[in-house]
Order: sequence, then C-alpha cells, then structure tokens
Amino acid sequence: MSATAPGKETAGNPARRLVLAVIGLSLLLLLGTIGLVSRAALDAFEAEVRPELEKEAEVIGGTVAGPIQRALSLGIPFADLAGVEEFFGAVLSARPGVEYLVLTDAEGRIAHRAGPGAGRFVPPPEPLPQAGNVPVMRSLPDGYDAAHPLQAEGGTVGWLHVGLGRAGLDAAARDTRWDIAIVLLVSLLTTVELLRFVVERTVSTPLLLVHRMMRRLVAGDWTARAASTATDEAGRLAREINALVRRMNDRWRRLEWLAGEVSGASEEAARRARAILADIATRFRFSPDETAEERMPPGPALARLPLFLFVFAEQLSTSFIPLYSNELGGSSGVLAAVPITAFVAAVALATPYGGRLVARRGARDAILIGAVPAALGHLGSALAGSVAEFALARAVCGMGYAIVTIACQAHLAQIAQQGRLARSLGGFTGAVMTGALCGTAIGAVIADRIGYRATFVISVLLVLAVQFLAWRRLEAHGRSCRAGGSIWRDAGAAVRSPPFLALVLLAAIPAKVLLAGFIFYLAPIELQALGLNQAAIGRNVMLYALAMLPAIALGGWLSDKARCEVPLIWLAGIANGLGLLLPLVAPADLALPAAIALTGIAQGFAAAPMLALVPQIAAGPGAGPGAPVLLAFLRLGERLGSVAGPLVAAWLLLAGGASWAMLMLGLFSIVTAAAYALVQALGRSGATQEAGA
Amino acid sequence: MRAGRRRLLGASLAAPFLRCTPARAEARPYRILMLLFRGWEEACDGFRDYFAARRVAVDLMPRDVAQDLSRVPRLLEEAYDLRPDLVYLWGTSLTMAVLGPWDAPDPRRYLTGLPAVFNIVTDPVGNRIVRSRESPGRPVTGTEYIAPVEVQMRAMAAYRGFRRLATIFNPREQNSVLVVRRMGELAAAQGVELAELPVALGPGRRPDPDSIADRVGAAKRSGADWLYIPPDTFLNDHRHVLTRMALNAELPTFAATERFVTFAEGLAGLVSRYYSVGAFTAFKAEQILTGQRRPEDIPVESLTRFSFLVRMATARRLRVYPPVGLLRVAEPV
Repeated sequence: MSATAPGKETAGNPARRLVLAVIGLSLLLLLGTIGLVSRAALDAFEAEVRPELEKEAEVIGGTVAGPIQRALSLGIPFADLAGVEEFFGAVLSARPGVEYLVLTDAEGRIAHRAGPGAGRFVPPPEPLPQAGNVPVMRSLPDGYDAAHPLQAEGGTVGWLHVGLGRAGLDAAARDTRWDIAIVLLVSLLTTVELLRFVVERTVSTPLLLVHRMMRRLVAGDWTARAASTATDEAGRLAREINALVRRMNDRWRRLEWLAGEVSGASEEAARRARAILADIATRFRFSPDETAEERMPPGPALARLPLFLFVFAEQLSTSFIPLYSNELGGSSGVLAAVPITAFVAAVALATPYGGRLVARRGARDAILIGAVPAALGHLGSALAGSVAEFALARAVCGMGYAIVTIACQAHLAQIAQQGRLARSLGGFTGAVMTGALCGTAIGAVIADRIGYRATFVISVLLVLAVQFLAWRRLEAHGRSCRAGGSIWRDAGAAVRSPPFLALVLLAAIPAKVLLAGFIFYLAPIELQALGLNQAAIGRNVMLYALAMLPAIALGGWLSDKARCEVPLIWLAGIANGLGLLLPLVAPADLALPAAIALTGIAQGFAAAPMLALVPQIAAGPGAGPGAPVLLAFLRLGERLGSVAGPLVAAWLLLAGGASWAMLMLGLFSIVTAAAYALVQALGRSGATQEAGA
Repeated sequence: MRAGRRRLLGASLAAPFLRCTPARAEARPYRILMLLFRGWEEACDGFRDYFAARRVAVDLMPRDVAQDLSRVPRLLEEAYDLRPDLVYLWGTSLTMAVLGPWDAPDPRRYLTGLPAVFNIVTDPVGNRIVRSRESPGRPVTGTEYIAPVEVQMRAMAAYRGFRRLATIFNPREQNSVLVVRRMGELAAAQGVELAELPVALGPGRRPDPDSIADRVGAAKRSGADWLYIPPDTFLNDHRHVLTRMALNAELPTFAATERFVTFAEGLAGLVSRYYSVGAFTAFKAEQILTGQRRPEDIPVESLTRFSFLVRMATARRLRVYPPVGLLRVAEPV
C-alpha cells in the first residue's frame, strides 16, 4: 500500500475538477435534450388531444341528442319533453369531463340545463343557422361548445349544447408535465450515479494512481510500480511510468555493479564509489528485486453504484406491492399488508446478523452472499401464486436487503479517506435515497407497461448485476479481526456504550419515527384531506427526498470540515420538530409541503453525521464490537423507529386529530434532540474531568 | 331506424333459440299435443317457428279449449290415447287444470306419465305446477313470461312517478290474483296506496264484462297515477274496452303482457314478447324430445330481457310522454 498519507493528496486530486466538468457538461446536455423532447412531447400532447376533445364533444352531443331527437320524431312536442334533467344527470355522471348540457329552443331560450358549469353557459352571440344537420362548434375561452340541432317536422326546433371545459385537458397536461419532470429527474439522478461510477473507474481513479506514483517518484521513492491493467491512456501512462521505474532500477543496479567493479581497482576509487552511492541513496530509494505495488485507491463511487442499483431494484416494486397482494389474494386490505410487514420484519431481524457477516467475511463477500436471497426473493415474488408465497418471498428478499445494505455501509466506512468519513457515509444515505426515488418512480412506469411479475424479473436481473459488480470491481479487503462471540454479546456491548445508546435512542429512532409517522402516514392523509389526487400527493411526498439529497451532501461536508457531528444531529432534530409545528401558524396547503421539505432537509443534515459517529464510537475508549456491528444495530434501531412511526402517528391521529398528532410528533423530536444535546454535554464534561483527574 | 332497431332487438332475443343448423332429419316427426286455452296466437307461432328454423320435424296437434276448462277431462283421455312425445300447455289456468299440483299426482284427474312443457304461465311455483324453478320435481318444465313485479313497478316509476296505483283483475284467475297480491305487498312496503278492484262476478261466478266500466271509474276516482293490468285472460279478451275506457278517463295504463299495448290502447308495459317466449319454450321442448335432458332436470326460466313497450298514440292523447332517458330503451308502438 501507499506510504504517503492519502489525506494530503485528496485536496489536489487532479481529476476532481475534470470529473465535475464532465458530469456538469453531461447533465447540461441531457437536460437540454430531455427539455427539448419534453417540450415536443407536450406540444404533441396538445396537438393530439385538442381535436380529440372536440371530437368527444361532438360524439357526446350525438349520443345525448339521439334520444331527444327520437322523442321529437315520435311526436313529443319540444315543450313537453319529459325527464330531460334526469337524462342529462345520468350522462353527466358517466362523463366527468362534460361541463354542461343545455337544451335551448330554436330562439336560444334555455329550456333545460344541467352540469357543474351550467351557469357558465353563454348563448351564441348570433342565431345559429336554421338549416342543416351538422353540429356547430364554438371555441370558448375556457372550453368548447358543440351545438347539435334538433329537428321536428322539417325544421329546427331546438339546440342541444354540450360544453367541455379545458379544466380536464389542463389537468391532464399538468399531470403529464409532472410525469415528464419526474422522469427527467430520475434520468438525471441515474445518470449522475452512473457517470460517477464510470468517471471514477476510468478517469479519476487511474489518474489518482498516476498522481500518487508521481508523488512517490518526486519524493525519490522508486520502489513501487503502478498496478494498472487499464488499456486506455491512463493505463498507458501508468505502464510508461512503470517502464521508467524499471529503467531507473536497472540503472541503479548497474551503478551498484559498476561501483563493485571500481571498488576492486583501488581503495580510493571504492571510497568514492560508496560516497556516490550513499549520496544517491539519501535522495532515492530503489527496490530492484521486488517492487511494491501502488494499487488503485478504492473510490466511494465504486461502492455507491452497487448500492444504488440494489436499492433501485428493491424499490421497483414499492408502488404496486399492495395491488399485487390484492391480485394474489382477493381484495382484503389486511392481507395486502402482510408482504410489507414480512419484508420489514425480515430486514429488522436480519440486520444484526448482516453486521456480523460483514465483520467476519468482509463487505465484498457479504454483498455476494446477500445478493443471493435478494435475487431469490424477487424471483419468488415474480412466481408467487398466493399471498402467503409472496410474503415468504418478500421475507427472503428482506434478509438479502439487510445484508447487502449493511455491507455497503460498512464498505463505505472502510474506504472513507481520512477527513471525509461523514461525506463518504453520507454517500450511503444518498445512494439509498436516490435509488429509492428513481426505483419507485420508474417501477410504477415499468409495471404499467410490462406487468407486476415481469417487473420483479427486472429486479432479479439488477440484483445479479450488483453481484457481478461486487465480484469484479470491489476489493476483497476489510476483513475484521473480530469474529466469534454471540449476537447477544454484541448487542450487550452495543447497549453498554453510552454514546452509542444515546445516538440510537435519542437521535436515530426519533428521526425515523418522525419520518415514517409524518411523511409516510400523516402527510398523505392530510394532503388527501386538502383535496389532492394520488399523483399530487405522491409529488408532495417526493419533496422530502428532493430536499434530503442536497442536505445529505451538505451535512457530510459540514461534519467533515467542522467536526461538529453532535451539534448537527441535535440541531437537525430541533429543526425537524419545529417544522412539524408549522401547521399551527400557517395555512395547511403551504405548511404541509413546507413541513415535508423541512423534514427532508433536517434528516438529510443529520444522516451523515450519525453514521460518521459510529466508527468513532467503535474506535473510542472501551472498544465495542466494531463498526460494522454497531452500524447494524443503528440500522436495527432505525428500522424499529420506522415500524413504530406509523403506529404512533395513527394512535395520535385517533386520539386528537391531525394537528394534535403533528404537534406531539414535533415536540417529541424537540425533546429527544434536547435530551441528546444534554447527554452529550454531560458525557463530554465527565470525560474531561476524568482526563483531568 | 325504428324498424331496424326492433328487428335487431327481436333477432337478439330469438337468436339463442333460432340457430339455423339442422339438428335432425329423420323419418318420424316428433308428435306434440298442443293444449291451448284461447286459440293459436303469437307464442304458438314462436314455438312452431323454432322447430322450423332448427329443421326439427314435428307434428303439432293443436286442441283449443276456448277458455272452457270443463273440456279438460276429454282432452286428457285423448292424450292418453295418442301417447304423444310431448304435451304443450298454454296459459296458467289450463296448465293447472291439466297437470294439477306437483306434489299430488292423480292419474285419473291429471295428466301423468307424459312429459310436458308449459308456456305463458304466471308464477308456476306459487301455483304449485312445479316444486321449484331450478328443480321442477316432475317431468314438466316450461317458461315464465311475466317480469318480476318489483321490476315492473320500477319500470312504471321510470316512466312516471307514482303515489297511488289502481289495478283491475279477474278474482277467478290465479295468475292475476298472485300478481296483485305481490304488488300489494311491495306497494305497502314503499308507502304506495294500491286500489285493488276485482271485476264483479255474474251468474255461474263468471266475471262480468259490464263491470269493467265501473271499475275504471273507481280507479280514476281513487286518484291513481297508473292503472296496472295484471296477466289476465279475461281482461285480455276485453282489452279494447278496458284500455279505451282508461284512455277516455285520462288514466295511464301499464300492462304486464304485450297485447294490451300492441293490440289495444294501453299506454305502456314491461313485457316478454309472446313470440320470443314461444321460441324459448320450444328450445326446452327440443331438449326433451332429442333426449338431451330429462324434463325434471330442465329449470323453469324467463327470458333475461324484457321489452318496454310504449304506445305513442296513447301517450300523445294523454300528454303523458315517456322521459327522454327511457326512450333509449323503450320500444315505441
């Protein structure tokens, strides 16, 4: 391994600006392209839909006019038409897009009218033509009006006006716009993840390797050669450096030989040769026989991509799991929850074992092992014939999920460069969030096209890809020294660590209770109460993830720069609590999205510091069971919080209504955050006293 | 357009029964003894045409009692002599007189030992012709032609809402009595008044046609929104008088059977077309004749679709027009 301190070189990573530029440029291009395509798609939508709408007005008019025309031709006088309002009502309830149906006599006097927009009917400015059988279309500022002539005894005796509002079209266009925006966002995020990987793999890591080699050579260290197998420019550069190293070592060897030859001639010559050799040896080090290897530094993106893909695969099915359960087992709402519960329970139960597996076998092996139940679980879900089988498959999947996620987390902690621990671990939460966001959004679209079962098959393929990536691209290292000991002993050790206990009980669990209780339970219910449709609710909830992503990066950066993990955690808890109090002071339609966004920001800021604290605690005095195991117990705590959150929220909602529930959850967050701050302050003063004593 | 629509409807009703595939072409035709209550009419046409369309050779032997049930014993003797392959029975009263209750077989008084199908019969279970619709309990099956009374009342309400109803019927006809009783129960449950007006019985307890005028007057005085006409043979015979008087009294009439609207001046009715019911009955008869199913295994059914008939001339005279929505399904006459 490298002898130089890795921390120093990061600042000068030559590829950093290049990577940023490549990603920025790609995003700009992608954004531009997708923007243009979306624009074209929306235009096409308008162009396609508007004539359709006019046609619909005509068709509806035809079907409604039919029976009226029939009544007239059966000799029923226009003035005696019976049951017109009821008839209109039946048509309107079947056709929600129709604004109004108005029946006027030949002079335009209104005889009957119905519909939500009946009051907005504007009679035509000039009398409609008396002859002819063709409907007259009028384009109005807020819709269309199709007037169908009604004939009796050869003349027009009245007009049926069908009004179609633009509201429906506009809503459809708005929904399409949002859908495009979401697909756009997902493509961007996925592109960033893939680019990160590709650029790190092919550009920045090889360049970093070359850079490290140069630094070695500049420092006079000619003992190592670059371990690069790449065939591209960076690889050629590395090979040329290796050739240079070899030549220099050969020269040194030759010099040594010459010195030996000269030494035999005279004592004086030998002394001078030794002096020369000694002089060179003070400035350069050579290792002619056995050259050490300067290996590729493991980059965080290398571990991020498998995690991103894995979570992506897992979340593809999120949007339709209850629907799939209903399809499998009739329509019982209770049954639909069983597979979800099975998954969550399996993850919670398997997480501590996952931590131990990582500690024993290393992250790479753990990912390879964990991907097997994950893939089997997805396959089982695709083949399930009953809710019970589906729940079993989801439980198997949950075990795999627990192992793989904890392995990726531990891997990120292991490879984190000095001074970048929080940012590296923040990458874990970032990858999970991005994967979840993209997977959920795309999963719904994919399932719409190819069906539920086929979507699970795609998840299987993605998990196999993750396995392949881990096998080929991750280094088998980081095997922990600790093995053996029971899981209960681990748990006991974790519980006996006060800072860890405080972190889990006063920060991690409250955060997840708030997240699951508010974002996934209360907020959708309250948004629905505001009259939002399913898609709009989904968009509002997504706000949480969008706000969280940049906050994770910022939180990690802040925590690394200022070493302020603890204050960040409790400040986030208090901010989060205050966010939930917003509906007390602002109207709900603004306060709810604001509270959702604030929750995302607060939890994002706290995510990386929380994870970063764990290895510190593990390395601290009274060394516990090691970072992977503690991370597993942290995750277990978070899982428990996620399970408890909706239950607590539901109970509070029943007990005192939505405002009360949000107030209580908010206060809970503030109180636990304050308690965490207090405990940490006391712990620190205790530690300094001990140190002083 | 109207003609096309009706032809379409008729075709759709008859289509399941009038499949034009030859089913049988053999020497001896099936012999069917047809016992008729009031002569050959549309249901018999449908029955006959079904076999013609299916190219099933049948020998139809119609016998009309001309509403005189005292002729039944002689017909029974003839039936036992002829030993036909099947006995066809038309109408509730005649069917009851020929077959008797399903649970009290008596070969001297009632027909036994010969398979039978009945047509144009009201409530065969209530009238104890069969044990149940699903399982007749004897080698007898058949069809019903009256829409359920609640469906008829809904149809009436769809045309014209009502608070009061009146009905005229022959108290001697079990078919009418059962329907009127059922309507009384439903009306009471809906808080609707039902004026039940049985026609007077003259000498020999025969219904008196002269009392019809008085009953129509009583119905009008009761403030009824509809005059309901049950499936009643006596009233059918006097349908012109009955519907004309109701029309003159500006009383909308609603009938359970088609002839009050199609061949008189009744305003509306939710009916099975006799022709279609006859074809449906022949469909069941064919299953018995060809030995596909035993008659006791064939359920008693009605057609699944009924025709909502509206007589537009009457509607115009009464100025009681069908609602526009109803015109999408109604068949103007």
